[in-house]
Amino acid sequence: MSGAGLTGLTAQKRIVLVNAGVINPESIASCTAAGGYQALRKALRELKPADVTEEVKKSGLRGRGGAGFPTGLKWSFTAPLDGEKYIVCNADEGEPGTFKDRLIMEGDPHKLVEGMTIAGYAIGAGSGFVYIRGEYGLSIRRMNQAVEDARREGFLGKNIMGSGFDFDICVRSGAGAYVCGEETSLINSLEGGRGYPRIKPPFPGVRGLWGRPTVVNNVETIANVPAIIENGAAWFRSFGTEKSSGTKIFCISGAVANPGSVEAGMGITLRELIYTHSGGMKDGAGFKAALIGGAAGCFVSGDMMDVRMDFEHLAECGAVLGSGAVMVISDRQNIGLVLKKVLEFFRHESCGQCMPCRIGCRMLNVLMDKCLQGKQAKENFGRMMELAEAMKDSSFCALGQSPVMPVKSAHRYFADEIASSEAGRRK
Amino acid sequence: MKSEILSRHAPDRSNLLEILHDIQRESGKNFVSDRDMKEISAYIGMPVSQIESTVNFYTMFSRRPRGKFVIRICCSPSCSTGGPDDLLQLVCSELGVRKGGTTKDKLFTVEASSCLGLCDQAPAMMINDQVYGHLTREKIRSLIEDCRRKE
Ligand SMILES: Cc1cc2nc3c(=O)[nH]c(=O)nc-3n(C[C@H](O)[C@H](O)[C@H](O)COP(=O)(O)O)c2cc1C
Ligand code: SF4
Ligand code: FES
Repeated sequence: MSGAGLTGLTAQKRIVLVNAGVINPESIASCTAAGGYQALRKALRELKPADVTEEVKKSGLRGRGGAGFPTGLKWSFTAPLDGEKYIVCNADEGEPGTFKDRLIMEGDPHKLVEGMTIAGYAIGAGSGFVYIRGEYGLSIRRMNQAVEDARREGFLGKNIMGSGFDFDICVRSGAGAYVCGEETSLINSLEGGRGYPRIKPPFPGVRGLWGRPTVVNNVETIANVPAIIENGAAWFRSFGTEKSSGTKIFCISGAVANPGSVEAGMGITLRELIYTHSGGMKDGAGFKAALIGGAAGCFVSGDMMDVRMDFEHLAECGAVLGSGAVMVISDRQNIGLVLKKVLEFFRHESCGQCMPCRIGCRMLNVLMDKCLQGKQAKENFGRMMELAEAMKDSSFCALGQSPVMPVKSAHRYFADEIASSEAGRRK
Repeated sequence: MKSEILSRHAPDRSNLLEILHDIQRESGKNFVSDRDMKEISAYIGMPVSQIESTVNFYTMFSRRPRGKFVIRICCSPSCSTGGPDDLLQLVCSELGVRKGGTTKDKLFTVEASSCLGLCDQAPAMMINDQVYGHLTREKIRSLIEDCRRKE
């Protein structure tokens, strides 16, 4: 296996957040003094658009929005298409337990402006949109300011750095809907409509915003691009694991002593995240489980402490990396109550466009309540698993297809607790 | 004032969410009225029915007047245990309203929200555009007092 050895993984490695907390995010001078916009200069002066895409492909960068789709490959579908094209940065960050994109936008907004401009150059887009969830007021302000400053300094606008390349960015805010993080909902929302997902195919890369080819990438994905262009694909591949190169920002919350974020090479273990970087468990409690990947993620138990956290190793264990959220649950908590909160989240966020998800999310909550009240808990939990499975097969978008993951993984490890649902009755 | 808000944005339907945010923020009542929608419709050339449909979709927009301070409380797993110590319960009992309700003095509306991206500062909530983390009963009381004093 290539990449750093296990000891190397323990250390933090900052690529995306290298400047966050170091520079003044509201000053473009502070950003350029720290090397900001050097990668853009290099791309525009030394590389052809196709070379940029090729370098990103070779780097092995995979989407950090959840699904891990290879970024260079995504760009290569859109790059050859003619006419008006767009790059859209997905900053809707709604996955429970996730706050990494906020840290990037608040800490180093120019990294995103630079990455989007390079991406725009690579795919031949003339404009980009950053769609930021409406709750992220500071991110929205900082991104707007960064765009304005970059424009004034000639890093955006017409004929950027004398290259003949024109590109500009528009910052837009969402208004409180998790489903708008789904790329086609996001596009509908950008167009001023309800955030209903669209049928795929056609994929946004072919027909997206206003019917034009559109690359949608997550904030963290795009924020990796400048470093890849500046230092090369081989350098990037020296971090992380073979199939998940680079670093990942993990967001650790819940029952640990010091909740927070860690940017480290892909493949770091859960044990390292909790005990090396988060001060261990809070108040001397024991570890019971972690919900990895957010609501659309999986519960894992203590026997997965040493599994490497990257796309392929977690998948081998039937879990997912998702957004990199790690919610830690202690042995003083009841998994059933946590699962109930997850299911309430889905019920609240289902857009209601399709029946399996609209009704399914309601029913899952009804059944879960019965389990928690100890009413035929075993049978009712069995029904929940069947229902979640049916939703996976019949829902219109990935939101309705997701509850099966927390439901099934909760069962795999904690069937007994849920069945007896002691805590539910004690409450 | 409304025409001033509208003129800040190009008359394009893709600016609808931005316009709605501005109108809510500056109406003082945190809502979008029927008249607002008519005026927006005339400005951006989008049917009122479609604007209404968009407004109804998003949790941050309201068709009914809300309090001057909209308190949005995170009810996702890192912040909320579902137990009696729940933040939502605390705030509701502190203000004497139910979830989604507005206080009689029209100062506060309490809403449940999904994860606010402040999970490392759990439990967390927002009051209008401001975020607050590491909340306790005492901290909530003093925040509410601060709002009252501002009034
Ligand atoms: C319900 C739902 C919510 C999503 N929320 C987000 C989100 O908040 N941020 C994000 O980047 N991707 C989100 N995604 C994934 C996007 O659809 C899309 O795959 C991603 O933005 C692609 O970017 P990437 O290739 O850089 O990961 C969500 C998907 C679904 C189905
Ligand atoms: S699966 Fe759920 S969120 Fe997706 S379209 Fe259907 S109702 Fe909407
Ligand atoms: S779970 Fe409450 S802010 Fe994320």
